[in-house]
Amino acid sequence: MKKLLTLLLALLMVVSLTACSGGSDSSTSGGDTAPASDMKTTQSLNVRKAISYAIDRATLATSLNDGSIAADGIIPHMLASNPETGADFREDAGVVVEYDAAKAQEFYAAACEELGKDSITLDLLYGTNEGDSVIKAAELIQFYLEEAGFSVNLVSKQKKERLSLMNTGDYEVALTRWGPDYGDPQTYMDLFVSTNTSNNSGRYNSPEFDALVADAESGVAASQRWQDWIDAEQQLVVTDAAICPVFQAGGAMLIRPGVTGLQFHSASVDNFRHVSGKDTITLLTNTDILSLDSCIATDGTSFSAQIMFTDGLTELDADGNPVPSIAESWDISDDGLTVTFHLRNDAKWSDGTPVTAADFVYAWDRIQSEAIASEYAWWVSDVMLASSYEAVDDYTLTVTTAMPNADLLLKAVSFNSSLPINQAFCEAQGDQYATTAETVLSNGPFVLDSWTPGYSYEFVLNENYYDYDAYVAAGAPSKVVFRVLEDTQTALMEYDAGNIDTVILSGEQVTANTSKEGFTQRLQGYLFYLSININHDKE
Amino acid sequence: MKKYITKRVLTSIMTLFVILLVLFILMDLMPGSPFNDEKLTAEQLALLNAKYGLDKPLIVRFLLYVKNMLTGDLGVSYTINKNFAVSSMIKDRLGISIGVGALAMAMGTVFGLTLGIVSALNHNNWVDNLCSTISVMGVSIPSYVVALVLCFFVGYKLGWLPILYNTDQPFVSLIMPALALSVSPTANIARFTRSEMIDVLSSDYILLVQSKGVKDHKMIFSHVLRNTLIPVITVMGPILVNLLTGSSVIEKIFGIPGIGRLMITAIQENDYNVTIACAFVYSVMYIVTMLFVDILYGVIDPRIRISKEEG
Repeated sequence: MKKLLTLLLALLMVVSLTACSGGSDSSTSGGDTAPASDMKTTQSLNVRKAISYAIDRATLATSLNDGSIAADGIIPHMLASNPETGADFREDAGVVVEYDAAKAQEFYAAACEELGKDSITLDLLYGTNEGDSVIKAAELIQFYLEEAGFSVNLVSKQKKERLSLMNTGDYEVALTRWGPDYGDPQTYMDLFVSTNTSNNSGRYNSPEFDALVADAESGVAASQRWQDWIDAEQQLVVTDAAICPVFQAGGAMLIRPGVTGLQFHSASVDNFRHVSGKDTITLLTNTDILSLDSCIATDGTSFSAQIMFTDGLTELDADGNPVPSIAESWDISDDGLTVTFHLRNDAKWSDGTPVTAADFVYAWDRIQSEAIASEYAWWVSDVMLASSYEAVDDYTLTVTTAMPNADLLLKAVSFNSSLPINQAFCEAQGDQYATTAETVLSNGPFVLDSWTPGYSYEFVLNENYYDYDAYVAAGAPSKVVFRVLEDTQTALMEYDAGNIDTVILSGEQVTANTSKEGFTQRLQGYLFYLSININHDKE
Repeated sequence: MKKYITKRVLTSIMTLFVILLVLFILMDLMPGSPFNDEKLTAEQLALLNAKYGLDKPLIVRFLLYVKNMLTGDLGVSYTINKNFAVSSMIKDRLGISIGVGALAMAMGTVFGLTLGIVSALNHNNWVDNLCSTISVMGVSIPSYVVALVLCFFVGYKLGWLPILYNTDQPFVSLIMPALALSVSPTANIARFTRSEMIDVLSSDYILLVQSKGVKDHKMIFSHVLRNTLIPVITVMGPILVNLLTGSSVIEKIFGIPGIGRLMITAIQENDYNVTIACAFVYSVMYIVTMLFVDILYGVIDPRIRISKEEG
């Protein structure tokens, strides 16, 4: 009897629950109610403006305590500089998002009126396994939005789930990030054009914005292009408040005094090949190499590892400017459409074969092939803008672009997706290519000596490198070891014990270590922003 | 006995097959995809799915997997070490995890049995209380706390042992992780041994043995311990499997490239082949250990052997 009663009760609950959820469904999507309630909360410009004004970005970034700074717009600091004056994009564009609690409350009140509601609730989606700073930031954003009047539900998911919810439009507001692929505002602006259904998760759709981006990418003069980006950011972030930039990620670390030459690039790959100061240098990495194959890798750790042992056409110097590497020099045609690279003839792969123009052609064909299914397949066509490329002879390579793009091209060919691959070796290895230290070739200052997944990878100085003498003269170590270690506490002990030469500090370790010699804060290129689902109906 | 073992092995293989199928279904139900990059376009995702055969129906993938598995091919990793053969990933890491686990089990058994026996023999006096306190602490303090305390004092302050795992001195650098891992098994085994031994000591047949004038140490080793060990071995089986399959937290703290960490990462990243292989290895080890434990019962206690042969 008791059992029967419980069963009945359970049934009753289920029925009432379904009735409830059914009811709320019809109220959000119902057709013939007042037009105001027909609108998605986030479609209201007032709501989006309230969100943007509500967040005290400076305090939030300081609370993260890892060198992060407030986002002044969607384009991060130190990403791109004015082609004429050399000024940083942020200097020219200024601070376009600001914190103003009073304005946030005004917009919130206006939004309530517009939507015909007493209060507005937002679901804030964020990833729980994307670092401590993301969790902290999400909680702070919740606090600030509630200060402005919103009720905020935190929706915490694993990264994979967060991305899948965003891809299917099943979210309201999400804390997400973008790391630049190259030093140009385009890498961010392309995300929000209406035709980009992969990255424009909120389905922001603005003809004005699209037109500005199209103009910038149509081969106009550099100054016009620059102005287009400034206007486009204004349209996206201020006029439409379609997304809400929050903070630019920082990183705090300790570098052993005496160890120098680690180059951190916020708009490109960190370059550690010029490190010096000891005979064996051990650097800490908190993630392992995901792939040694320059066509397959997508993460910073793998990219940095690859450029230890691979030379591209150019290399970025400490300031991010392209300098000769395998390409000794280059000519740009008068119309700006063709760049001819003159390759040095003394560069060799570690199996003794020379590095030739054909190695680049092969790599660029390979990354675009469906068989490889590279996540960077678009690099050659969309960033280098190469409409064709040709090995004129062993040591001459021409790249023709659809529109003048030499500045970006010279930087782009330093990136991993443009690195050369020795065809004969790669094909001989088949599926096994670049899965171990033995199945990949080096042509750079270091040779990949060993890789123990999950533990370490080690490089030794390449005696056959064309620039070997210069590296030795600059005090290059004979061995560079990367130790994979996720735990920040034991890593710090290991550093203090003198066994590793760098350590990455977590937010809570920073305060105790700021006074130590070798404390370094860097700015990363990652910009964290709130993606707001404006038009993306749940799929 | 032979018949019994054959039967057990056959059921085990069936069980593993079912586990594999369940794993496949669970993988399919997991949210998200193995390709979790903000930068991935829909077309690229489709290409990647096609490349790895993930666009095929579940049952086709399952049958293909089983077919490949019989030839020793466990597929490739999608994200953790892209295109790397899973079999070699597992092989490299399993050895290390088994090493730490076995060392921890050895420590746990020796310390646990000693503590338990000493407690039981000193039933209800201060020695027993002290040992019990240690056991309770061992059960309640998580291994990572012990690990960090060890790292700080033994590794960093005193410098007696290396803080991190080091392939150049594997044994020495595994002592601390094994010690940290052994705390909980030590406590569990000690508590079990103590209570079982107290039971045995107060039983009638021990009274008989004592009245026959058998010397204390002989009585303990050939009568008391034997009967104490049977239930203790039952708990030791699962503990052993747990230890051998690696601890994600301990591996993270000491920087050990073991299978525990690999499995957790694989689950988080939806690296299907790696997750399935790790879970499968875990299942195999569990089943083999339980089989081994059952056989061991027979060795320790002839009564079980006889009843099994009859059954």
